[in-house]
Amino acid sequence: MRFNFTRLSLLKFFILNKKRTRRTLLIINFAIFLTFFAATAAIISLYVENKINEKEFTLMETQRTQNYFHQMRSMFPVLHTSLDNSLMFDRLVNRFNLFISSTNFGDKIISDRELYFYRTHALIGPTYDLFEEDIGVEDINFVIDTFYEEGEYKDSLNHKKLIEKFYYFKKKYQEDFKKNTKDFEQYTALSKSDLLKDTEYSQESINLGAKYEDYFNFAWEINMWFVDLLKLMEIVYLDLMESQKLEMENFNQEIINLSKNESRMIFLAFIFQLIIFIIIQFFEISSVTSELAKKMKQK
Amino acid sequence: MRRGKLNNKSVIIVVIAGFFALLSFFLDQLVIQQEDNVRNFEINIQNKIEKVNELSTNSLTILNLEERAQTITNHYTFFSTVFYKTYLNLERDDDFKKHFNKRARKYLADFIKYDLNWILYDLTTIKEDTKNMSFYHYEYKDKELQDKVKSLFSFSHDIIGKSIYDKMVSGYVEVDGGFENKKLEDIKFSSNEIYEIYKYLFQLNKEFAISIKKLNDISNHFDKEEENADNELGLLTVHGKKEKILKNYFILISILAQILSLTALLFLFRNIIKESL
Repeated sequence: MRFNFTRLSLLKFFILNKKRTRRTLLIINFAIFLTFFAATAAIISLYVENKINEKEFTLMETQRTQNYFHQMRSMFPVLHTSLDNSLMFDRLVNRFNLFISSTNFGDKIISDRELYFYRTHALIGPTYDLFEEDIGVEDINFVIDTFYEEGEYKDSLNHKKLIEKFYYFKKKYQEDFKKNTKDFEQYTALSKSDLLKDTEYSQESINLGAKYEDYFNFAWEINMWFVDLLKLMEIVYLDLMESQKLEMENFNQEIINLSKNESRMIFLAFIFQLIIFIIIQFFEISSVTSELAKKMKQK
Repeated sequence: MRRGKLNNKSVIIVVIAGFFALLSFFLDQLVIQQEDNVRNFEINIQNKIEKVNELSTNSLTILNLEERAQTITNHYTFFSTVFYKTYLNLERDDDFKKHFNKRARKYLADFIKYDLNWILYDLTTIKEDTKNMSFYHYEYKDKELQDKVKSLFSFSHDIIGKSIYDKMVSGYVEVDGGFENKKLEDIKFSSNEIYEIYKYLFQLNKEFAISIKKLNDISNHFDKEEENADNELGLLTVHGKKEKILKNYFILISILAQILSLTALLFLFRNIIKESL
């Protein structure tokens, strides 16, 4: 008797016992129904998973862009601080110079050169890479033209003017400032005689002052333009992020809906298959019963 | 049906059951192998995230360092000329002198002396701080860039004439393990020495501006590297996700194969029962 069940005799006893045929058939048919249902559920899951995966890929791409925007937006305060520091320091130095200039001895200390030369370099120094490297101004133009619909809001961004100004600044920087100034010239110490000559009334200082006053105004305008550019980029990034947020919410909702539909589809398949199973069982059991009855009569 | 013998239909069903059972085993093996792939991708993704964070931190650190150097250099550029010009006029112009009291010349000489002291301190401190920043220890493939990093805020004390340097150093006293120039105020410098100090200030200050340009190049390098690493991370994430999806498909198809194998076996039993009637 040891390991008898492994020879299926026990199973055979139950399955092939003619007294239990109808019941056994019913159980086997029910098991077949369950396996069919399980297979259908697995196929539905495969189909829905495929759909969800497509959505997840798009969602992932959007999330990546959104993360990039978050990262970029975290840079704005740093850039604003840098600009504020430059502008506030310039204001402080200008006031100090004007204060000295207003004294009876000021004419000997504060010349026009003194007023503008160092301040120009201090303001223009941090901005040189705007014109010597590609900062992607055309990308801003492209993004705005692609993303925004024509209308009042787009016009209020004023990006065309801002970009036009960039090219004007670039031209002036490369064709005027860069050509007419020397690298690190603000780090050259004047000789004693030059320092003594550098007064309010010195013609040389007046001429140099006029040149650097123009450059100072140019440097100031670049800084103000950069403030406007940052403002524009902050608005655009915020709008893009809001739009992407909505897009991500939609994708998430679509994924949730697909999951819900998957459960519904499986449930419907179950009901449908159950009905088919009951109908088939009705005919099969009746046919088996009549078959058995015929055989009994023959005996 | 003879006892122990299967009819053709049953044999076909057994073959189908066997096929699906084998398919299920095969897919289970693929799931195990896929799990290894997914693990490898996850490790690579984590490494890449760490790399992107490192590059991004380096870039931001450099940006802040540039800002710090810019503030320092602006400070020294703005005021050094005004103070020295005043000092010079006090020395040369009696009429000019009338507008000041007797302390003025000493104060202005002190401004210049202290500026030299502070610019040396600022350059040394910023250099030391830079050495503690991660971008300083980064392994650059470009030798030129590596040299730029190592040469940031470098200056030679030889810029300062020996006599002036010795005088400056004589003012240093040890305070809490460090050095402070406590006696600088009392050290006397001649008019020519003050002019020399004024010139050193410009030379030393220029090092900040040179370093800002170098920092800009280094920052550009990190920005490019970060962009590349970020793109690679994006690709890795997509591939990792694809591998996970493939694993899920293998699991689902394996389950489906098991179900079909079971279904075939059930059909076999059903067939046997029907045959036995």
